[in-house]
Amino acid sequence: MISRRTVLELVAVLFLCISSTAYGQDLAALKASFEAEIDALNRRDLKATLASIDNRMVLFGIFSPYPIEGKEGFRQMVQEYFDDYEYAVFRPIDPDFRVVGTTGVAWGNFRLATKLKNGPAEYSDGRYMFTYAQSEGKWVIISMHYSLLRPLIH
Amino acid sequence: MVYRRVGFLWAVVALLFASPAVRGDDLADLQAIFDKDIQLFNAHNKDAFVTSAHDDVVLFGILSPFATKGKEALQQLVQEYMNDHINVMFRLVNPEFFVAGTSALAWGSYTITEYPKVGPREIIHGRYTFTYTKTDGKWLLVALHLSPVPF
Repeated sequence: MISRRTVLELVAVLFLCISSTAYGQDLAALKASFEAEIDALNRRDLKATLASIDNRMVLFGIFSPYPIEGKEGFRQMVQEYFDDYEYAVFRPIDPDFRVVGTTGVAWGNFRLATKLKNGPAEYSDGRYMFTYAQSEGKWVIISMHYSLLRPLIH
Repeated sequence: MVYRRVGFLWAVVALLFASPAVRGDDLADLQAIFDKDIQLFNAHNKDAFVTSAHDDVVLFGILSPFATKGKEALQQLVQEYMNDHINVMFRLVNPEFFVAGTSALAWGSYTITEYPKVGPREIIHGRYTFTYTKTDGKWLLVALHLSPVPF
């Protein structure tokens, strides 16, 4: 006869295993979503770039002091980015991820290699933070915030 | 049959009215937590942004190029900052909020006026995004990014 205590312990262990598996799956899905977004940007695939964007997303970037608001604003900005640059590759450095409930965070440093049409090649180093909300089992980006390292290093 | 139909209609109407109210409450709660943190910060209170932070909070700030990870590290950072300054004033410019299920965002621009213990007064202009998650009915800060205005 299994005691009530043993049953409770088994249930607790089972719950911890399920929670940890679910967390691992959420984290893996978050990483995959982030990598797909960066890949789409670097491949200049506008449609794929928009696949995980929430309709009300907000972006603070390094090319303008003002926020970009909403999926349509983001689409226009990315289209201009693709049109203006002959070459643009965003490379995350030490990417990190965290899942807290139904919210996800991807952050790290980046190096952006760009070449304007008829312009010189340039490199920008900075920090990025994307935040996500889980919607119908899928991670969607609710914010992107980029900042350059230059003014922070004295 | 008619009763079932009336019941169904009532349920639809109740849902239509209830959903925005719940969202409105969430938004009001979020704004209240954000406003309280700004008030605490301006009152030179070392609990600013700490009480509302999740244990796993992440911050990219303007004092360091590196990320601050975890509530304890955030608390230490706020304490050091308060210790180094006689007074600080965080003024919001066009603060905005939105709720997406159990995640939420507060964003906008800011001006911070710093009165350091050593050195002259400084005025910093920047942008912020604070991300929250709702845990056990409470909004908690999970990510903050503050950056100087480019240009």
